[in-house]
Amino acid sequence: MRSKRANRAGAIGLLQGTLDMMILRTLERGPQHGHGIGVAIRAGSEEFLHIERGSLYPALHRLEGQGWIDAEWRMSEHNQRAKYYRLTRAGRKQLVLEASRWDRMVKAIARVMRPV
Amino acid sequence: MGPDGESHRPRDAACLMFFRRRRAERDLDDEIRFDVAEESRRLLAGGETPDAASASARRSFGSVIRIKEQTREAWGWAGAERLVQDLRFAIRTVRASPGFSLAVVLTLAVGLGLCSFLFNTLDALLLRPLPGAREPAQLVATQNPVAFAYFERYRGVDDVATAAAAYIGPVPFNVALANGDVAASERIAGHLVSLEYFSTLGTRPLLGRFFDRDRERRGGPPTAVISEHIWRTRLAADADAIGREIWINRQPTTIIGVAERDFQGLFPMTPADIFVPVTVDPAVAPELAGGSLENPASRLFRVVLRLAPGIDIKAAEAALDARTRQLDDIYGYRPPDHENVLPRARLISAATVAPYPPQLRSLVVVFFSAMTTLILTFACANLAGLVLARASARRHEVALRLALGVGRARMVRQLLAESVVLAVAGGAGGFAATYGFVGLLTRVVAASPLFRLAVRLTPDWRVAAVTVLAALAAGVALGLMPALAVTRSNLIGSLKGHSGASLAGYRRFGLRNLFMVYQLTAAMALVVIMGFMLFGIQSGASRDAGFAADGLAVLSIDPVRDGYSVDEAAGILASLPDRLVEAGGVEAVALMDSRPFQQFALPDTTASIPGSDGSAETVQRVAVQTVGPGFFATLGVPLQRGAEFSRQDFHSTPDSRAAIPAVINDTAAALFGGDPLGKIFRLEEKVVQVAGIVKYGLPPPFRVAASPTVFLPLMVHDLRRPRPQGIPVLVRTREHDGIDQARQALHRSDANLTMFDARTLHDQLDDLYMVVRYTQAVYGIVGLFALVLASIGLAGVTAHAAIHRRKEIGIRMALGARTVQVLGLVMREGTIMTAVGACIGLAFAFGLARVLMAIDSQLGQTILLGTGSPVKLLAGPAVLFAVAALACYLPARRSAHLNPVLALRED
Repeated sequence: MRSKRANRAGAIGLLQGTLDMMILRTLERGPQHGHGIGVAIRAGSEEFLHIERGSLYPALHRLEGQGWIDAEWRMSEHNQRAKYYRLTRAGRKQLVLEASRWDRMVKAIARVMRPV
Repeated sequence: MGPDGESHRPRDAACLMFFRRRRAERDLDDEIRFDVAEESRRLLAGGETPDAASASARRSFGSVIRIKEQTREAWGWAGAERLVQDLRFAIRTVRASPGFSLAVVLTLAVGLGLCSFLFNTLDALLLRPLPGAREPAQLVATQNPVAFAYFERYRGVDDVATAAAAYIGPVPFNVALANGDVAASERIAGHLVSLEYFSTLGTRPLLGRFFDRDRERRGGPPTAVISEHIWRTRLAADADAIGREIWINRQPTTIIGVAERDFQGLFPMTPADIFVPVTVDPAVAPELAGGSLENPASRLFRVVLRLAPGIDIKAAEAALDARTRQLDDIYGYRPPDHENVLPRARLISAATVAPYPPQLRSLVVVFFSAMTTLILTFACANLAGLVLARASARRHEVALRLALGVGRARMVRQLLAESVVLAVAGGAGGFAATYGFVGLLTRVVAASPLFRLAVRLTPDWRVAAVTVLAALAAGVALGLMPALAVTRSNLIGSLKGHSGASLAGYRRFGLRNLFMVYQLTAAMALVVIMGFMLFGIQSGASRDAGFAADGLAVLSIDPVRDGYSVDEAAGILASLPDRLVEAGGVEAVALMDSRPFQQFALPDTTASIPGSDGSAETVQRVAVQTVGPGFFATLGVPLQRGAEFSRQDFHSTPDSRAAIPAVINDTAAALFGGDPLGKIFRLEEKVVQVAGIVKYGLPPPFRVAASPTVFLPLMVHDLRRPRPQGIPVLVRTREHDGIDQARQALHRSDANLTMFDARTLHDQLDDLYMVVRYTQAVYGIVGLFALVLASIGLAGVTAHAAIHRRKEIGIRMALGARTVQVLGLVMREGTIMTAVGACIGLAFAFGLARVLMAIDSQLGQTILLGTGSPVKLLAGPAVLFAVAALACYLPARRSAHLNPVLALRED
């Protein structure tokens, strides 16, 4: 079920867990609301990854439940009440962990795809 | 209101979860609203017009409901809450269509009730471990009785068993709580045990101690252990019961221990409540009279062994067999030839309530699983039509909700929740039915001395658990197929109303219709055969027993358990009839060997009867009963020819004459070619001579005449051996209910004698025919359920067809078809199926009846009695047709009231 939803998350199928990682990475730059996170990922991937809300919000709420991010309500720049997410200490640790795992994974896949 | 809305009932306010949930919902709303606003702002900045921006912002979003749904899933507590939601919704839906729900629940209750009852019986007898024993899996017992001397020599075979004990049981004990309290004394079954009995089983005392070698000695004061059941029910759970004296077979005996709860001896299928050590005097336990502990030919004991670790029952049996062969050689015993092929010591597992061979266990499990699967498959297949019809009818609703963004998984889960709710209701009904039926059965068994078997049949948690599991399986099996079909279907088509466009499972001559015809055939055959049997048994049961039961009573006495020696007992019994009559109040008394009214005499003995002209003898099966002098006179049945047994016969010994006199009944007389009186024939090894002919005997169930019966004389000699059931006495008094007269007469003639199992002959015969009535009830119930199940299946098929043909019906109605014609159209299929099924079933039933008649003329006669009148003959089929017509009409009625405009507009 989850992998099916992840498939809808971008132009290419996202590997499980990568969305969580990208959200954490985005929040490393500072607190952001859900829409902002979506826009940031889209911009960061040069319009390649369109994250559906049906994937984004469940992921945000899940990460919040796991304690890797927390949220507070405050006014946006357009003076509207918005839910801003922020990386927690545990989230920072998790990001390091996932990023290093991601690096290893990418290298491993690259070695398989382009053996020298 | 569906479960997807945010409707909350006030009662939810009680829980904290509600507040948390409401806040979370509000926050989620705000969050998404903000996202939409932000998105349209972004698009606006990109140069779109405000309207276009907000429209495409919304479009890019997709279904808000689905997003929320998916997000809620990330909240950990959503799962449990959604389950509650789904169930609540399911219960509402179930209540909204009571007819459908009732049909499903009823069918499943029948199926699950059957499974539950089946499992309960297996569980009670074969699966529950022996109560009150440690590691019962290690316990084995000898199947064949052995002498105590053998048991003592088995102790040498140490490497196979860590402990062993011997016992005789069940043995009746006459128990009185106070000395001389004859009126309050009671016969309680128990075990006569060797001292190691409790330690071998690993039973613990609830109070006091068990037997031990130092304190229980031959000739010492008698002691006994009682069960917790007796302690609670007879001694009011007296905490000072230890050391208390009770009178067992009129001998003062000290209670030294109470066994732990639920322990009722080994093989508690026949429960034991009192345990007496073999060290007691024969006065306490008449079975020990005549040195039966020392005599190697007195094979009375069963040996129970606790197997050593790693030893299986086969190895133990081989070791014991070898030892037994040695012992047989030493004691010069040769088993009868037909037993020679068997091991001399045969072991059986004692781990459970009833004895059964260990290899049966897997068979039992397989049998139960197969039966359960079969029954549930049958029930579900039967309901498939109904369920599919309903699913088709709900396609529109389901499609709408899918279009609104309810996930398919969620939708399937909801539909499944519905069938599971129905199945669990059915399971509860089935379990309740089992519980009630078992309760009834237990009461019947307890009330009647007919059944000596007393198993605790009350369903326990295991039965409940198995029923629930079976119910869940049935619910999922029933709901999954239609749920998948209905949610897979083409949304647009369903919304526009193509009923059945992509819904599989409807074919005019499909498997289901064949199944239906088969079912109707079976129902018809069952109903007809059951009808034959019911009416046949009825006619048989109402037959005249051949005598007036008024004033007759049967009671039992057992002088050896009233403290008399074996010789004294025989003397008392020999003079008892005369003394009772002298004591007044009773008119006639006769002794019997066993209670002839407790069971139907069955022909189980071979008689070789010479032909009428001295030609070759014919071999016949006859029933044999042993009765004392004056039996027929007491009963009030005059002999047709000859005379009944005299006192002289009573006091003779078996060897003193060339031929034993016998009275035969008219059925047996018919086996002789000519006049049977004075004829000599052989009854197995006995030579007997016909001394009288009597018209007497109770026709057994399914029989129109009494079995051919040979009555042999009871002799004083027969009264010398103690028997567990005592000696039955037939008494005729002037009163309608003569038990009090009999009791007073007995008291006047010998105040020490206890009478037990006293019943009027009316009651005794009622008990006897209770088996017949019970059988009748079972046949009736089976026939009824076959009918109910077939009707539900038929209703389902008709309903399915009716929905499938909505459009056709709509067109016909628009063209002017009248209600009756529409009804005819829809009901035609069901009617044809009923007719076909009924014809085949009827033919089958009559064929079967013929076959039964050919196999067994007596059974055939019963069936003939059942087919005696046209009313009885036609009753079954008429009922079937009426019920089938109703089953077709109810779903068809709906199509007759169809609005043609609506039906046609759906396309």
